Amino acid sequence: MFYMRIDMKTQEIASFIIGIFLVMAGIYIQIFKPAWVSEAQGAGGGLIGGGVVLTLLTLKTYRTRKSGEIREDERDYRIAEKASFRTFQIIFILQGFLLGILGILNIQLPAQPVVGALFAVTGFSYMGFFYWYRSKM
Amino acid sequence: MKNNIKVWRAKKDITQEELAKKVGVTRQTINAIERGKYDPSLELAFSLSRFFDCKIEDIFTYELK
Repeated sequence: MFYMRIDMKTQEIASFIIGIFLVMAGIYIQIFKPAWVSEAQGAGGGLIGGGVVLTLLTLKTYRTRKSGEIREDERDYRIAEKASFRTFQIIFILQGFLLGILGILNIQLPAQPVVGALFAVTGFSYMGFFYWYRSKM
Repeated sequence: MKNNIKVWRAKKDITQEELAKKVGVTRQTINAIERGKYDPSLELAFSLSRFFDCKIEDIFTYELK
């Protein structure tokens, strides 16, 4: 009986499967253009791109781990912790401010652009703090 | 916290990269420790002292501010 042992961690297996699933979902949306998808081309392309990136990153992480090369250590985790905390503070204050202003002025905003803006602020904030703390530490 | 890892490395004639591999961290971490920009965890400090076969106080000096 043919037996092949794949020494992958659970997280790596899950990431790999999710990546493949995203690619397949993107291909499905691109081909069949279901009615419940507003922008099939963009959504499908985004899913395929995200899935490919996730799959490749997972394979790269697996290969790096198997080679024994140390890419992340305690210093990186500490930097990530500090960056995460500062990002959380900023996002929490920003959302609190938004809630207050929107409530006081009774402004109704569309959800998608606001969520997108918060997503972007979170990403850029974390990246900015990460690189800043990395240069300080 | 001050340290003299560079001196201990020179005694053992070992590069930052080699030391980093021995104690299980990246070269950037060893570099950051030597420049005084990063204070290692207790576990890493013990790993370093074990590698250099000395006490932690021989490598690291804590100065009250």
